[in-house]
Amino acid sequence: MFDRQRIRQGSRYLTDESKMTGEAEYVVTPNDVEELKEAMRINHSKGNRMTVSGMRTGLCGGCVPKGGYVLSLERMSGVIGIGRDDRGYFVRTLPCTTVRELNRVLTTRDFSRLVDVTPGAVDALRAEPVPWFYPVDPTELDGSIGGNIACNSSGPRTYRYGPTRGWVRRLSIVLADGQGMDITRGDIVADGRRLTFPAGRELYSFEVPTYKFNKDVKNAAGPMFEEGMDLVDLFIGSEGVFGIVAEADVYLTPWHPLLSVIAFLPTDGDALDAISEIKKDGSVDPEFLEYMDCGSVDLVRKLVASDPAMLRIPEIPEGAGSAVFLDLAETEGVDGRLDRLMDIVSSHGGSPAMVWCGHEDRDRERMRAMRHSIPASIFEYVASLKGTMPGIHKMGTDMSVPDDRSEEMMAFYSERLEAEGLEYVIFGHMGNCHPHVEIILKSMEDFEKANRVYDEFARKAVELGGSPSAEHGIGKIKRHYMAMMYGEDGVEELRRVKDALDPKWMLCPGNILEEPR
Amino acid sequence: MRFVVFVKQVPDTMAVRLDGNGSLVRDGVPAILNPYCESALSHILSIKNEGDTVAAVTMGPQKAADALRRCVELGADEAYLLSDRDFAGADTWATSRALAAFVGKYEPDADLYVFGRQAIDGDTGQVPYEVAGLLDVQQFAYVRALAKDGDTFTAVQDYESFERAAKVPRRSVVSFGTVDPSGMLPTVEGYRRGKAAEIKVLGRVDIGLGLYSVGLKGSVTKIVGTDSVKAARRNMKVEITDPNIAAELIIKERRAVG
Amino acid sequence: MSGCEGGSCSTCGGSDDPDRLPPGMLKMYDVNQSTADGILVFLEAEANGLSDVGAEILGKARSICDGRLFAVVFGGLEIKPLYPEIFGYGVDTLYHVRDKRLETYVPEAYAACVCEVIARIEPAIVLFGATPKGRELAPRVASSLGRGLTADCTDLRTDGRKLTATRPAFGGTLMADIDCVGFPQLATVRPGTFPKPERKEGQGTAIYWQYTGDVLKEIVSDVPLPPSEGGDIRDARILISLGDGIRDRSLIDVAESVARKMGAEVSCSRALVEKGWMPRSRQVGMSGRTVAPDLYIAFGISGAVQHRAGMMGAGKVVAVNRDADAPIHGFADLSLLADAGEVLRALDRSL
Repeated sequence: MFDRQRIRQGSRYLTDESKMTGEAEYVVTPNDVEELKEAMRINHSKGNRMTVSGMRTGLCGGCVPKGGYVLSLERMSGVIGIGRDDRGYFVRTLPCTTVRELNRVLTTRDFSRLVDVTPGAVDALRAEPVPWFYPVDPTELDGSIGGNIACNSSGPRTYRYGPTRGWVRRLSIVLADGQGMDITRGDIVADGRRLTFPAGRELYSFEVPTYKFNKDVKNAAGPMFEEGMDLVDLFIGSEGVFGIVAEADVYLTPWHPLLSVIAFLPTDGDALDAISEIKKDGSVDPEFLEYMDCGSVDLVRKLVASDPAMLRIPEIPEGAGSAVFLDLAETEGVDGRLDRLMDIVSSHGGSPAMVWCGHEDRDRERMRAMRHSIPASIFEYVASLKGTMPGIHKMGTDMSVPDDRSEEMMAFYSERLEAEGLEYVIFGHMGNCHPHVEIILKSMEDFEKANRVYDEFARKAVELGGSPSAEHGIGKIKRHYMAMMYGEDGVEELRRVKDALDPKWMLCPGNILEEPR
Repeated sequence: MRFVVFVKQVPDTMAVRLDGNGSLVRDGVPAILNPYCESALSHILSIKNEGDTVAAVTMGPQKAADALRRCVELGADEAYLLSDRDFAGADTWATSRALAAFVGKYEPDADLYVFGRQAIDGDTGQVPYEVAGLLDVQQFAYVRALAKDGDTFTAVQDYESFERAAKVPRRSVVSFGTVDPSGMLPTVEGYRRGKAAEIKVLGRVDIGLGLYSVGLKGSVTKIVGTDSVKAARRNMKVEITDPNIAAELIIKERRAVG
Repeated sequence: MSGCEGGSCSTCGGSDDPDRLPPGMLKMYDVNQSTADGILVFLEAEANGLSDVGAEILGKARSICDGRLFAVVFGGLEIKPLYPEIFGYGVDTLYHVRDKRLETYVPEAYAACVCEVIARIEPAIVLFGATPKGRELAPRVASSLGRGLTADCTDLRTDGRKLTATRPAFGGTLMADIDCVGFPQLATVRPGTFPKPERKEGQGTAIYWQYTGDVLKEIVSDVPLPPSEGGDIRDARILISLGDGIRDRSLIDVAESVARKMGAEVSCSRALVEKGWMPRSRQVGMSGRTVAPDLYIAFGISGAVQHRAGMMGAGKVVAVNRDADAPIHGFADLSLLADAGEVLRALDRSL
């Protein structure tokens, strides 16, 4: 029998990194898939609504409960085994395993507790000359793999490897009523626009919505639908509203050593130009491509000055304004790629002495921490305002646009923010035309202004053919984008899918879709 | 001026884990430049002037060259690797003897011989002072800061119960006691220098020591037995994530010890 | 400099190295057997008397040695009142180096004096406390003599004159027994390893010694450092220990507040010392202190093997670390998979 505990006020089960808080009576913590099914079945029949919770690292309140129960998968954690098929090796894992842990097991080949999913796979992988790893890097490495799948997470490495979706092989799904099924990609596909599938003793069927999900830009705004879609895709990016990931197979790829480079340049324009040149040129071929504007670099400079031990990086060189951050594969031809990169950097006002270049893991980790410290420190700063300004929260954008509209979008950002007199920094995944604009709030007035321009930005991104939620998902916070992107009709189609799979709307209420009145 | 920095390659002990039986899992643990050595090097690089040179030296297997490349990456000018089958199994005495012999033959007149306080894998912290003894030069332990004033150095040493400032004569052994909290990152120039670095490999004959003066044969301590350590613990894993409940449990434990 | 510099010759080196004689010859003829006997202990005097580790080592030395027990101590007149205590621990002969030039600590000269005393009395074993001074001096003495030194021992055994020293190896997962070749055999002993013997007064021979060399240091200043706030973590019954998982410096204040309310002391792992957030005197582990509190509460400590070596003797271990795979959970009595910072704050609120 699964465990059930009453949730007290202030419990961590009521919140996530969005810092919105919800309410719930109990937290249920199943130990395995059978307990999970049982928990769903019993609560479904009792009419208790269930909000799925993993590591609670989401930024949009996806696991924040709106009454009912929290279903925490925290005990369903750990790598199960290794398998191999035509595409290569894959790993079978429980949903609450973190990406960090998954890759630790893989890269250190800590396989002693793993089983063969296909015969001999563990030994075969152990014997590979280089380790294989799971390449989708959602920045937040302490997020769970189940959460990553539910949000179709992406991150800096999406530049090369794409989002989570392309790496999912098979899922064990538990539906709202407790029925379970194992589906491998290719098993069940829609017949045109009708998708019918069995789970447990039941048969489910729904009409595939017709709204256009933009796969051409980085996009985490809601579930993807298309004619002849694979059933596996229904559960990727749908934020738990259709079913719970109880186990997953994800593909791996051979690991290669990486070189992290941070090149400091004089101005924002220099860095943006260098980035577009790197993209156009093609011969640098980075694994990811990130941007830090002058404000971001200054922010890091201040962090280093206030506590050198925090980031463990050297002082930012004098004369450094903006920065470009990228990884190169340290494989054959790396010298040529580095040469080409240095040419580009030099032609935009950089100098070799102002380019950091780490190849040891611990150096790369430190450079990564530097990049991560930008949103993290703003997050802390805004959190410190909460005492005097209740209701305030961090305002960071998460919008992507197509390549050729990037400049227009960037210009729109600065124009609007400056017109409103807001202080801001811009950094992030310029490789995917997906920077984060972080507004540094000073007052509640700023907060209101920020909310306003944020909506303008979202509209602009959609207008330019982009996504207002490129990687953070929709959750409960960004629900209004659904209609902005897909129209009221699109949302209505989506509601009908929910009706077909979870007629009582018991599972993850409030994610993506407003609950019916 | 000439600085000779002695370094060691160590497994990144923060990454070493224990398996279910309490044995070390060493697979996949990266080998790194000992952090104390890296800090020592970084101190020296920060006081080095135009025209001064820094040589990095290590004794170890061929793959210890990576630690030397790291030194060159960060700014060392030359790298010596003392590597020879005969060196295998050296204790601190045999190691110190090889390093001192190297100094005698290749770097007899450097301005400073620089060490880090200890290696994070062995933690004996003996080599700097054994080398100082063999070279018969002054030693400066637990150095926190080293200031250069013209041609003279002043070291600040932290002996825990007192702090000493002392003049450091030429040819002294200086052992840095701290790890620089911020740390260096290589530049792209450094990265290329490191990759292209010429590592001078020296064997036993090169440093002029006999077969019985080096390695296991030259060691004066022998490991005669080992006993694995296992602590019997109740090991109850409580998977609660609620900090308030966790706090309550801790308070209970606190009461239990009276 | 000692050692062979002549090329690849293999005949020089320690004359009692058994590898170079035909098998069994040493035993048969008993040639080259040193007559070394007894134990010499290097003692440190502190402002308030003899250092604890000195007394601990003397107690252990007396219990494993049937022969003579020597001690060497440096200082001026202030040492004299300590004689009865030193002799009370069983010292037969005390070498008191009374040299005006050595009233401040000069490692090279101290080592030279210890070597001279060793040459005079030919002890089988020489012991130092593994203190900052002891860990600096012992290697210098060992290398001058070309003898073996075992660092940071946690146990000592003798078989007549032969010493077997035990020290944690491989990050404390193994205890290694180490023998030294030849005499004397040197070791530094980890403070707090052996019980401090009962103090009683005794009598023995004190011999004044003079430094004959002239290697001195140009010391600009020696400034006493105040002992770190709070008590010695080795004496604490309850320790609140912080590790790398403590990402926010202000949590150290929270931990100190919790410690006050609990009657505990705050200690830490190496990571926080390297960050400069905690003094080295608070570090638990191979390169820090060995502790054995009744209750050890580890917050955000991953449990690197080196850390484990320093706290294995704890009565009860509680680990708070949200990383379920952190090694610390493998050797805790109670593992709480919660966020260390949040638990500290919750404790601070509810105590």
